[in-house]
Amino acid sequence: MRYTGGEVVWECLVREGVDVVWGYPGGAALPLFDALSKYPQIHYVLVRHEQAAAHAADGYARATGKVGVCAATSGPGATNLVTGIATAMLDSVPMVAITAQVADSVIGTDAFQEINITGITLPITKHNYLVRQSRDLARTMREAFFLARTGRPGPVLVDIPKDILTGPCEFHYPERISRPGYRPVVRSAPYQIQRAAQLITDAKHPVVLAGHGVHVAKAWEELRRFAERISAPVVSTLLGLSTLSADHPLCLGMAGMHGVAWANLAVQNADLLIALGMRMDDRFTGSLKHFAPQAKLLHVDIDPAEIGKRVPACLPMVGDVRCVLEALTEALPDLDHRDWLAQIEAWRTQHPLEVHAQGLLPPQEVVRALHRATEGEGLVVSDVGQHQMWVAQHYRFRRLNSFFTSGGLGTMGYSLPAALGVQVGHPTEPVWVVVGDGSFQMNLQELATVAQEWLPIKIVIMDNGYLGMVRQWQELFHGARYIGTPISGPDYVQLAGSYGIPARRVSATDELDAAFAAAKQAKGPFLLDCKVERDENVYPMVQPGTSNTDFVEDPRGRTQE
Amino acid sequence: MRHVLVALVQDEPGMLARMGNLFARRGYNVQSFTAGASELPGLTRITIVVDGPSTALDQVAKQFRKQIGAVKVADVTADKDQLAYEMLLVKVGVSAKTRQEVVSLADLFKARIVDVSSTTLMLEATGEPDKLDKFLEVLRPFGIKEQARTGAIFMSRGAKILNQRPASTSDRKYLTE
Repeated sequence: MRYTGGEVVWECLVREGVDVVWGYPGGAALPLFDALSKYPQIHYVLVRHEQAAAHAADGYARATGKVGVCAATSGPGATNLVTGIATAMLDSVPMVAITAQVADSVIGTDAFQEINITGITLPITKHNYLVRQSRDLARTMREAFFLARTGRPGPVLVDIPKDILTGPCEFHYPERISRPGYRPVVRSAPYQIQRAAQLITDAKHPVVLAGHGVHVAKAWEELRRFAERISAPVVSTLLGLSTLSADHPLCLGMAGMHGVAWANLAVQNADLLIALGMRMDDRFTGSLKHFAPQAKLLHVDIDPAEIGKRVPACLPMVGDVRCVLEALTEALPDLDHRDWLAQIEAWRTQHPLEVHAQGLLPPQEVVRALHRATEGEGLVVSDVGQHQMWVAQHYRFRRLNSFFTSGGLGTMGYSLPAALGVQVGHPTEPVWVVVGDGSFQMNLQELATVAQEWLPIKIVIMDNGYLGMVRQWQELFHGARYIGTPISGPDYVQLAGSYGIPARRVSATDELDAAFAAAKQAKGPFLLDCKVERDENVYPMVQPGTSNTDFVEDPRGRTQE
Repeated sequence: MRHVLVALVQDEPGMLARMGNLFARRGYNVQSFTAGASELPGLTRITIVVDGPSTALDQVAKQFRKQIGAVKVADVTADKDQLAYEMLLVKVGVSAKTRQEVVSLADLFKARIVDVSSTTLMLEATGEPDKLDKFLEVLRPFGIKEQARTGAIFMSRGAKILNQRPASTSDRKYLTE
């Protein structure tokens, strides 16, 4: 049977088990989308901006562990994907982005809607391809999926000229791939495991640092068993939240700039850090000079380039977090650290996470109401800013892999489109979006996609009329000159109404539970516009350049004592 | 400090741009970047000489190794038992009076005269980069009109072979999931 290039692309996706593609058509992509009519098993979702297609593919990938796929046309279609691809790159999310290109014969002539997208995405993809020959198409697609999901996952872009999409194309899907030099190390050598076991046995104050790699490796069970075996507390990064249930006695929550005090104190006073699939981001470590001064570092990551990048490792362990944890747990006896755990409990009592905010509707209370409404079992997508930190602090994630947010790149506008993907990945239960009014306005066009697909996404807007995180920094470090941070917006209840999405405004704490109940009860989407206190700051906060022990707590908490 | 990386990469479009990009990102000053066919079909051998702090170079080498298509990357900076060669073309301004002097300097440095005009001599020299630096230094007073250098290439002496260094991948050509 003869295929067109466009058909070959879909044939490849079918073989990769892809069931949903997020995209936006265009001139050069016409033959790709034309061929789609023959593939009813693939659900194509038209978004309203290509950036949303990339974020949706990203959300789907994080929620399911499968490769997310997005497709766009050449030129502006391709460049609109860029922020979404970069977001996936920084957070190691498996994604294949397919872009159409102008015909091969005119590449390099600045043809209409031509852009060198492989050049543009070179530093923000794990790998990318421009297909120049029809016969390379199927193999390239196969490689793209293979690279996206193996090793340290990441986005792979495949750029396909229109004439290849249109023209006849042989289809042979290779079973094996030749990629000399690409060989992610999965298992650590036995002598490494022995050395690690010795370090762990010798430690008095060990702390496990759980990063996004735990999710990527699906190592949740292994993490729990390991932590229980060695009786060590587990601190997480932002993306490491929900790697261990917040109800677990060893789960301390998030450390770092806005981490909880006891988690930061545990890290700072540790004598051994067991870092799992995390990259010692600056928001996590604070000033490197002051970071965990007495601690040895046992660093586990599948990417050797992450080990020793920011903090020198006493024992580097290249490997898949799940395999390494299995081997380590096997090699270790039951350990007891009750004095150390008691010390951490004392810190937790001394520096509790309380809401001192006054006024009608403190933003932290919105997160706490969400927690009550979902009993900590919800799928939560947050955007970027103050509300993101409040979710990280006040929502207690009882369910594994239930928190989705842009960590590394900090992409405002991520949450609503990413929720499309999370929702399609988990079709039977609602997805909760927590988003600031600034972030929401960056991609609010996707309300149309929510309505079109009638997805039960519940949108909770933390509406304070400010770009709150930037405002907080202006208040603290720029003489409270609020330049460019007060932000207006539409009437969100009316806006939702115009898309046919039911909505409600919340202005006081005592209205929260009823509002969340209404949102939960609605079969389809729902929007809550929460008019929160305008001038709230996120506490605790470690000021940039200082030590994580020098966290600043809410000053209102002190005056009450 | 000066560092030398030697690599084997798959001969694919965009590969050199990918490699060059890594050094630019870390603020490395690339002194030379040389690429050409290796003994292995489909693999290009790249030699990169860079200037920068050692601590960050380790990171760059790791990032380099991580690139899809990089088959072998070796930091050969510390390898004492190796040869480094570079080629130079230089056009020197001469007069009837100075021509003979330049010819004897060329002799001294084992350079070849490859082109002659009434006012210039073009010389070709091959050797260690330091030797070429010295050669250029002694030619400078005569007036260097134009110069081109290839950048150095490195190879270990004896039976050592780049592609057979430890952690070689050639025996695991096919990957399966």
